Amino acid sequence: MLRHLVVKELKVTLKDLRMLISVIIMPLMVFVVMGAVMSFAAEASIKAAKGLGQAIAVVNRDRGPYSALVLDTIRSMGYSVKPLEVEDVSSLIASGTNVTLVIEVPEGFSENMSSLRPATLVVHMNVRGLSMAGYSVYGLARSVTESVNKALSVALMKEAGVTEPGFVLNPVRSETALYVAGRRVPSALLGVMSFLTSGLMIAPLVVITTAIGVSAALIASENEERTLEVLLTLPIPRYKILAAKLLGVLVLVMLATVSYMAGFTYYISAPLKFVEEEAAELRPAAVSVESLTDLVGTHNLVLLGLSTFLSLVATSALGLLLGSLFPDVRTAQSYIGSLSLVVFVPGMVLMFVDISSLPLASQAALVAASPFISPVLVLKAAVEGVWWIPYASIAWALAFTAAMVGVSAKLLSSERILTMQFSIRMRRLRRARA
Amino acid sequence: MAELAVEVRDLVKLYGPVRALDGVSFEVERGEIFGLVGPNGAGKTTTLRIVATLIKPTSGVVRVFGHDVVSEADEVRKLISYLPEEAGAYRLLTGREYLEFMARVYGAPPSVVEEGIRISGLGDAIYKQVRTYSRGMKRRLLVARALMVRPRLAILDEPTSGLDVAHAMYVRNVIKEYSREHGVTVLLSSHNMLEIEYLCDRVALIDRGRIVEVGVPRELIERYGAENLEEVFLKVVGR
Repeated sequence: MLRHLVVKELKVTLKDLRMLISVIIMPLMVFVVMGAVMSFAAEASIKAAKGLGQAIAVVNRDRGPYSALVLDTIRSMGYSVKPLEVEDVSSLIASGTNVTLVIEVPEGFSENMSSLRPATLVVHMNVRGLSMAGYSVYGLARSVTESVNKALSVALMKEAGVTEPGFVLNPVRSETALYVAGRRVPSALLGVMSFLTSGLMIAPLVVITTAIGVSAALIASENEERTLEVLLTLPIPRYKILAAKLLGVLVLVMLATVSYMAGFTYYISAPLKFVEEEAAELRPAAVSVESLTDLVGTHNLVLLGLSTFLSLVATSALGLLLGSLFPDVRTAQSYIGSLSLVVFVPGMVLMFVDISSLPLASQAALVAASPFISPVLVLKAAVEGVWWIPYASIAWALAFTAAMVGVSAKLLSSERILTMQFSIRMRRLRRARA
Repeated sequence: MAELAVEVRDLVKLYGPVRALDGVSFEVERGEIFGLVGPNGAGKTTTLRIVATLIKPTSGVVRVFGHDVVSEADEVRKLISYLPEEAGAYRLLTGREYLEFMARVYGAPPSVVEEGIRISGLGDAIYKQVRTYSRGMKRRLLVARALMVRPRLAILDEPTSGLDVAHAMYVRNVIKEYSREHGVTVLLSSHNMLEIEYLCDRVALIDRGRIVEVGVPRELIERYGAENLEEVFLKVVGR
């Protein structure tokens, strides 16, 4: 009997294009699009940072040997140098030139160098608009000044008779060791940590909000299609009707999760190529499941799976309960949509704070909200070793689920669900007439 | 005396301050087609919903084949088949899939689905999704759903409301034939007096939550010296 009901739920839902798009296609698209955008942005910023295809303008007021070395160094980095003869660089940039950097070498630069007095290079950074890549201009400026500094140091050392200027510049090699919450992990993970943690935390939150929406839609569609009354007079125990809906939601959410996983895999593998370029020593051998288990630990990943599942059941039960209040799918989804804030706001805040640094009251408040944010909370707390939180959070999610299922079953077995619909419709009518 | 199909005693239903039913009593014999007749808001749908175990009475007793609709709701649901006035079917299922689902829920054999398809008279349209059906086709599917499982009691709320003449005639004939052939007891409501005269063995006239008269349509018409049931109703309620 339960099987027939579940099959009906799945047939009715999987034939619904709206549902298919929101549950299976959207999650995949979101990650693919996000991945592509990140990848594009990363590439663009690397290009910008390297100044590829861009000239660096130099206003040389010095004409001495050391300013010549500055120009040679810039050329040796692969940039074309565009000499400029202007009085005021600011007005040149204000007039709309397309150079990214203008380096001003002041008069007396070489003289200062040879008499071992600090000299100044004025670097004008020209950002043409508001974009995330704007910051990369600073990277370009920094890499140019560092190289120039290095070249000048080497030249000065040679003049002073130092035989191994390269060694003097870098006498110490550093070996790094990375620890996450006390566990030693490959240093390479540092470069991808924000990617992995954001993915690990956002994906369950999105899946949970999907579950609320799907479950609410599943029961609201019974109202919309006016099939609920017949369903409630069939010789089926009410708890089975509810169980079938919950199982239906879970199967759909599993499909959504597979879709997310596929999207997430693409997301973490695509844009990370730039890490390779930027910091070779921090480059991960491969971004994969291993790097995830390295970062958070296998047993914590299992805990993440469990708490995600519990959150899904809890929020699906809530979705069913709320969905039964609405006369049609669209109304249900528009109201339920705002619920995603309850999931995302604490979820996103959590991404930026360490739980162990919070006062006990705040920790307790997070646990209270945990049916919605359980995966993020449990994962973070487990990694940080705040062990009472995962247990309390899982216990509370279970209690919350039981309460939601209980209330939903009670609602289905009473006439409230029908009379509530009736009173909501009447209220609407009255409002429309007014 | 044989057990009654439906027994309603002193039924009262309050919606807040509104007295939807105010002491309704009537009996439905086995195998008969019994009609509840009255204007909109008289209490027909509320009565049928209580008999169908959907809502609970404020006071009074309702029994279906001896089972109390409140304390033995699960038993009652095995005996009945309810068709609400504004019922729909899952729009993305085909007509056949819908009937198959319903047959499985009742634990009925696959032959029941074929029976349902025959009753619906939808032909090849049965393989199309319900969303493509006209209102009349949908109603025929729903009536077929309600009758194909051969319930002991079919509760039909305004079975032909909103249908054109052809669909309404079809549905009336199906109900009449099926009840005669298989001994299915039918409790239906309608505000169409002609329909009631044609279909029902006995009727109860209901007004403002009270039963004002019960009897065989022809006898009522004669007793009140009226042309039809409509006139009988007006004479009884004194309007």
